[in-house]
Amino acid sequence: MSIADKSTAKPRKLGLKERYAHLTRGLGWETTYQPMSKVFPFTDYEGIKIHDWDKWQDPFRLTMDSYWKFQAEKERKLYAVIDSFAQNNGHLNITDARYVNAIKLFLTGVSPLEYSAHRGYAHVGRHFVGAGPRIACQMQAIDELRHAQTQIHTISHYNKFFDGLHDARHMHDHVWYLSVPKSFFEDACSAGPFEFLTAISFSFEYVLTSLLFVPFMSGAAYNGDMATVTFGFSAQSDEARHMTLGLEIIKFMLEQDEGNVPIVQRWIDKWFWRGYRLLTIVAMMMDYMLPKRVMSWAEAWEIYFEQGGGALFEDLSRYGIRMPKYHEVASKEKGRLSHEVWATFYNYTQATAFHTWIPEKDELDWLSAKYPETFDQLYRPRFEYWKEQSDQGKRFYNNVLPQLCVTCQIPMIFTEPDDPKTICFRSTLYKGERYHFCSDGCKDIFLYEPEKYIQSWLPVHQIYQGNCGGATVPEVLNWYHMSLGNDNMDYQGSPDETLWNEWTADRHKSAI
Amino acid sequence: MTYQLTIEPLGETIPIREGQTVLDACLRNGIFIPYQCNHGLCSTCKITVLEGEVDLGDASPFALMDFERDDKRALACCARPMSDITIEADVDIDPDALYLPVNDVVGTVVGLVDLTHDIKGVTLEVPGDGLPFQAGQYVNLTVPGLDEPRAFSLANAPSKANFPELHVRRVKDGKGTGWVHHDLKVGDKVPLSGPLGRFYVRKSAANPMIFIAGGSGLSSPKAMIEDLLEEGWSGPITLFHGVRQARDLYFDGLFRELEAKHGNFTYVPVLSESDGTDGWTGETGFVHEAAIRRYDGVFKGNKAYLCGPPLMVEASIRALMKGRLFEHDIYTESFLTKADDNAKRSPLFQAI
Amino acid sequence: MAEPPAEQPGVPDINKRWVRVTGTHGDFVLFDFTIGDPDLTVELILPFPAFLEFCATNHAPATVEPAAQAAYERLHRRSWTIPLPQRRPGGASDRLL
Ligand SMILES: Cc1cc2nc3c(=O)[nH]c(=O)nc-3n(C[C@H](O)[C@H](O)[C@H](O)COP(=O)(O)OP(=O)(O)OC[C@H]3O[C@@H](n4cnc5c(N)ncnc54)[C@H](O)[C@@H]3O)c2cc1C
Ligand code: FES
Repeated sequence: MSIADKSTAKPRKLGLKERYAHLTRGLGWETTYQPMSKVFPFTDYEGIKIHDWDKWQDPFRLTMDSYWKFQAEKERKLYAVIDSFAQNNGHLNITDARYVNAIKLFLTGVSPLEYSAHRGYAHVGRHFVGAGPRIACQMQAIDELRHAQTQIHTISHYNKFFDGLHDARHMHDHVWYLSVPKSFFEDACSAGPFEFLTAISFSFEYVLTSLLFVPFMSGAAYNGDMATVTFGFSAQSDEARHMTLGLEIIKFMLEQDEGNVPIVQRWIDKWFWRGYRLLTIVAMMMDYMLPKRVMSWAEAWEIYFEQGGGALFEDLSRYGIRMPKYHEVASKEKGRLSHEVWATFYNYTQATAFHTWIPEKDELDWLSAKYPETFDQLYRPRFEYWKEQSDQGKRFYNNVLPQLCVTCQIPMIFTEPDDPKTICFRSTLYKGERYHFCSDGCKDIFLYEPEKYIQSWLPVHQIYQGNCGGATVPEVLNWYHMSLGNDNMDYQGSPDETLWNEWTADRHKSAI
Repeated sequence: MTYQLTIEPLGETIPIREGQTVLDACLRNGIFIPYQCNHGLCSTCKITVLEGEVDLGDASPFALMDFERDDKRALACCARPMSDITIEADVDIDPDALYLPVNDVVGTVVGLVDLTHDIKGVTLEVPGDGLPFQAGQYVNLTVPGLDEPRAFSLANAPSKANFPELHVRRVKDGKGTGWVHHDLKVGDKVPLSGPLGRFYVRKSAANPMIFIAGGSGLSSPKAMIEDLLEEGWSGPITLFHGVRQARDLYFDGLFRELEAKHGNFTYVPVLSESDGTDGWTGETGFVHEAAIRRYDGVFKGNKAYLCGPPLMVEASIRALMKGRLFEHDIYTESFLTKADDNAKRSPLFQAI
Repeated sequence: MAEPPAEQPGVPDINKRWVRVTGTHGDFVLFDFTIGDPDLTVELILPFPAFLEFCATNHAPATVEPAAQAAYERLHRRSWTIPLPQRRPGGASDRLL
């Protein structure tokens, strides 16, 4: 066959890409009896300029038909496995009931975000002019709903055996430390559609999610928690799709107009910092809450952000995008983050829906080994002192409500980037009021959109203003739907511990 | 026994031997199906069998699930034909690809010239059909005593398919290029396999073209430009050729002639190490800097073809992107050697 | 009728577990963990000794992807050639591996 024969055109079938284009673009139309700007009111105000929506490269070409088929099959098996674990008393296979506290934190802090993500994607899935991104977002909205659902099954499973999970939905909307993840997502959902995707699809799902998911799932699996691993099955396989959406939206904005570059950079800066602060609880789970540890937070940060993210930002630099602002601060903090936070929760254990404890000696040794530059010098003596006090019946509780950062809503517990012994305080005056921040990153975010953040619902302020059931701990706990002495306080002496010891004693007996 | 394999949506039909994998048959016929592991593990090469029967081979149950098997899905890297078959694959429909089959041929060395102090021009003769290729593609050259073949781009116009021409730069301590420079003689026979690669001119887009070549990376652009001018391409074509010193330039007589003859062709040689004493009055600096100057930093609306050392290719990609030309309009052939570290890349870019 | 009870179609057996090593990272092993059915797979990471323990407790046979083979074997060899440290409680020993 000669070259000439080959190049002559022949009739051919449509390619997958073309077929998908018909299934997506083919569903959009130019409106006639209302102007497009009224039908899609949110596309311009963020300042992002799009000249040609057809340049959108569909990051995954999945039709609804095959999506249903594939997910239905997966879900069928997933729920069969979830049932099997429940029937086989899967909760007895975990290493130690202390572990469940990591799960409580995840299920009350992160799982509701899956539902928020569902709402967010459904919303922006309505508001893009281009049919390509609209369909991608709608598909992801369904994914997120499925994830929320499987995680609610895990909540329901653990709720039968352990305290603190009886009203996760209510707690997410009320409890002080849960306002951190809640406000993070509400910040994203109340932004425009382009910022939402930069925040969630790119910064969170692409840049930071492996830090959340891989070490967390590994911790669950290693500690025998198969109920949690099952929801990993459901979430992780969709992750690749979600990550490509994050990359595509960034490329699309950067290529459509030069003027988009600084806007995207600012969003990347903002959402990197917001996401990083949110991951603080993951740092604590990894370093303190897993009876059998996987890796330290510092190691995870190095592998997943410094190395993995480094390659991404090297590629992004071709567009003139640089590393997120303050990434170096995050690296400076990696040796102290988890210790500062666990100490805080230990202080306020009376107001948490999970238990705290002082790490055992071998656990302190592990921390010393993983953090040779910081742990023995700065944190170990404090934990040992608290242990001593507690052994003498003088367990330390902090009864003063903490000052919160207006942006991330975390108590002002973080230290100066270059001095781990000084608390980092930043503040600014806006319209005659003073606002406080835990870091330069959080302060910058406020300064760019002060009108947004002065509306923050800050739990501590709300308590002082009398909006949270009363002025005493029992009243506030009541308002949180937490049961004093059951859901909170130290693990040692908790009902969880008592039950666990009974169950495992039985198991030992029956094994004989 | 040989069957017919038809690939949709291309509509191309190619022969496939009994026992040959679908992927192998496709690649050997210039049809690029995305793949990674080539072992039935990663599922990158998943296809649908529309007609006929295949043996699914060693496809891992992880990469190809039961219900997918029921749905006539297969992994191209393990699937072997049991009849004539038609498959559908996730191939990009590229109106400019000719999908030429890969052949193993033996060429006889008929010309050896020193193009510069470190680039050898090698002309081979391949009888019969010769080595048909699309301008821009390369061949793998088997070097005696070396396990892996070495890649060299074809520098002749495709109209001279019987006389493949290579420009081989001597790589420091390089075994294969050392052999070409020191041992190869006129009359020697060398095994080649090709054409390979997806670096070719996108003629279906009418955009003006920019070629940026570094050193012996002039090979592909020479073939591409000769081909375009031969067939009377009338759109603007600009060639930047970056080298160190005046003595590293080659074929500049040819390109000056072409420039004089074709009003749409511009030739811009660029010296990065001109010391001012060589009487050079042309462009100086790095080749991408010269391109920025010539285009006022604005590249939007062009198609760019980059060929040569990886560092030059990367610098040019950055310059082009700064000038608002993106992945969709940039095509590259990086002359990678073993010395180039495979720095980890993110999945942000696929083609550049 | 003396037919054996029909197996429920496609209900994965949670006691069947597999591990597939996909890569390494320093002393960590990256792997896919599957319960009952290839659809139910999750990507995990564990330090090498923890990885071995994990496979053993789950009775999960491990395979290694060709691309990860060399790196995985290096980890394996290294862990056996280093004299085992005095096992202080905690991670001091992990650090040596
Ligand atoms: C698609 C393509 C097209 C090409 N076209 C052309 C062309 O038209 N013209 C041209 O001149 N070149 C071309 N090249 C580049 C050419 O293929 C290489 O220069 C050639 O393969 C080098 O072979 P060699 O045997 O001389 O060097 P090698 O012996 O392979 O060594 C190359 C270099 O790497 C070093 N090295 C070897 N092994 C290692 C190792 N393990 N780690 C680190 N360093 C190592 C050597 O010291 C040497 O400097 C092309 C390359 C590609 C991929
Ligand atoms: S290329 Fe990996 S499965 Fe075929």
